[in-house]
Amino acid sequence: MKRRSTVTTFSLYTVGTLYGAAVLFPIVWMLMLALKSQLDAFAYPPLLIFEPTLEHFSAIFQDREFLEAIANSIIISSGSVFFAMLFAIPATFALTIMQRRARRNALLTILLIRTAPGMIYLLPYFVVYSRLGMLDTHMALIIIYLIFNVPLIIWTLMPVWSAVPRELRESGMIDGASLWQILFLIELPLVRIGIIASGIVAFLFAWNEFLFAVVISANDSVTLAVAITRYMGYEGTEWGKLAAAAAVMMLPGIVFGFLIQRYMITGLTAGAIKG
Amino acid sequence: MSLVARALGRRMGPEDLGSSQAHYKYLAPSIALLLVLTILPMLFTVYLSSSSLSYTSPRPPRFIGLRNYERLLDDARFLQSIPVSLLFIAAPVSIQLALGFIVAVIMNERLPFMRWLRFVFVAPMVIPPIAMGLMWRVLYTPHLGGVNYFLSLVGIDGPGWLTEPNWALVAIIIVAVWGWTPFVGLFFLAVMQSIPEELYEAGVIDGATWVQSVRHITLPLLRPTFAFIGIFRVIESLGIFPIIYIVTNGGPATATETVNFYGFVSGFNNLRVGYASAIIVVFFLMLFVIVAPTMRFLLRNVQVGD
Repeated sequence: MKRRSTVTTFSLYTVGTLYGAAVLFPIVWMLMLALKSQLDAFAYPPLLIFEPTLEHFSAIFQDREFLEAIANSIIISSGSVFFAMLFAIPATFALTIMQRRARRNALLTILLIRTAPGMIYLLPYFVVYSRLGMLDTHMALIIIYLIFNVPLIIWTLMPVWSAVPRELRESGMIDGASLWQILFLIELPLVRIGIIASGIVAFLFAWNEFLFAVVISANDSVTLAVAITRYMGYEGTEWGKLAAAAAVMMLPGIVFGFLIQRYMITGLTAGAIKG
Repeated sequence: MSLVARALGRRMGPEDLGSSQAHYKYLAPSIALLLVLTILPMLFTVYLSSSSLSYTSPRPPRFIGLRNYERLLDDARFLQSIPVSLLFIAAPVSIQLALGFIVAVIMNERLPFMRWLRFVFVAPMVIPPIAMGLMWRVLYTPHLGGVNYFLSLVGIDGPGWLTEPNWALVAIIIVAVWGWTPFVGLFFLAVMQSIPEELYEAGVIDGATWVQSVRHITLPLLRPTFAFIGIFRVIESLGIFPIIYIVTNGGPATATETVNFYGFVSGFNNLRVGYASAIIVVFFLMLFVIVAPTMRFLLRNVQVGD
C-alpha cells in the first residue's frame, strides 16, 4: 500500500467531503423546493427548515398531460429497448467470435456512431417524418433511438459475453449445433445479467433523451423530458411542480442506476485501458 | 477444450469459429441498420444545405448551390457561436479530466467513510440532463436558488448568473463539470483498480512519498485513459444541448449559443431548414477536424473489447 502522511489523509478527506457536498447541494435544493409551499419557496433568506408539503406532487399526478407523458416515455423507452435488442444481441454474439482486429474496428465504429451528437441527424428526420406523416408518433422516436441504443447495448453486453467460456461454444459445435442454436440455447441464458443491465442502460437513455423528443414529439407522443419543460410556461414558471416533476423523472435512474452502476462504465473500460 | 475435440487431437479455438464467415450474418443487420439510420440522414443534410427550403416561405424550395454557406460567413450570430462551442469543449473537458482524476484518486484510497461518499459522487450519472438543467436553473435564479445566498454568507456579492453574458458562460461550464465529472472519475477509478499493487510497493521501497507515487506511477499509467475518455467527452461536449436549452436558452441574447444550438434555432424556431442544414454541415466538419487526429491515436494505442 502507498504510504500516506497525516497531512495527505486530511487533505483527501477535506477535498472529498467538499466535492461530495458540491454534488449533493443542487439535488437536495431541488428536492426541498419540490416539498416547499409556494410561499416558503420564495422566502428570503431561503428557508432550510420548513413544513414539507406534498401539494406539488399531488398536483402533477392529477395533471392528465403529465400522466400521459409518463406513459409515452415508458412505451417509447421499452419499445426502443425491445427493437434494439433484436439487432444488438446477434451482433454482440458475432463480435465475440470475430478476430481481434476486425472486432476492434467494428466496436470503435459503433462507439463513434453512438457518441456523435444527435444534432447531425436531426433535421433530415424532421423533414422525412413530416413528409411521411410520422411526426408525433411513438414509432418515430423508437426508430431514432435505435441509433444510440443498438451501440449502447452492444458495448454494455460485450464484456459480459466475452467472459463466457469458449469451451461451451466448441463443444456445441462438435455436437453439431448451428450458430443459431449456440446463440439461443447455450450462450444467451448465460448472459442474462448482461441483457438486463444493458436493457436498463438503454431504457434510461431513451427515458432521458431530450433533443429528438422536443422536435419529433408534440402532443400524442410527448415524452416526460419534454412535458416537464412545459411547467416553465408562458404565464411564469410553476417552480414547485417543476421540481416535483423533475424528481419523478429522476426516479428510474436512481433506482436502476445504482443497481447497475458497475455496468454503466464496464462497457467502456473493459479492455479499453490496456493501452 | 472439450473431450471430443481432445480425442480428435484438434484444437478448436475461437479462431476456428472465426475463420468461417458464418457469424458475419449476425452482425450485418446491425451494421446495415446503423448505416441506413445515420449515413443517409447525413447525406440528406448535405443535400438540404444546398436548397432554399424554409417552412415559412410560400415559395417551393429550389437548388441554390453554396448560397447558404456564403450567408453563414456574414452571419454574426453564427460566427459568434463558434468560439462559444470551442469554449464549451475546452473548459469543461479539461476541468472534468483534472477533477475526475482527483476524485478517482480519493475513491481509490479506500478511506473509511469515503467509501460511502462514492454513492454521492456518482449521483449525477443517473440524473437526466434535463433534470440537471432544471436544478441549476433554479439555483441560479435570484431568491429561489441558493447559489448567491451562500455566496453572500461568505461576503461575496453573487453575479447575475443568467443575465450577464460572461457569467452565463461560466454557469453552463459549472453545470457541465458537475454533471459529467463523476463519469470521468468512475472511469479513471476502474482503470486505477487494475494497476498492480506491486508497483506501489516498489515505489515505497524506493522511498516514494504518497504524492510522488500518484505523480510518477498512477498518472503515467493513466495516460491512454486520459486520451480515450477525453475524446469521448470532447465529442459529447460539442453536442451539449439540453443544459443550454434549459439553463440559459442560448441567452442572455445569444451569448451562450453554440453552433449546434444555433442550428437548432434556425431549423426549428425560424424553420429555415436549408440554412440550418448548412450550419449542421459546418458543425459536422468541426467535429471531424477535432476528432480525426485523436481517433488515429486511439486506433494505434488502445485495445478494445478483449
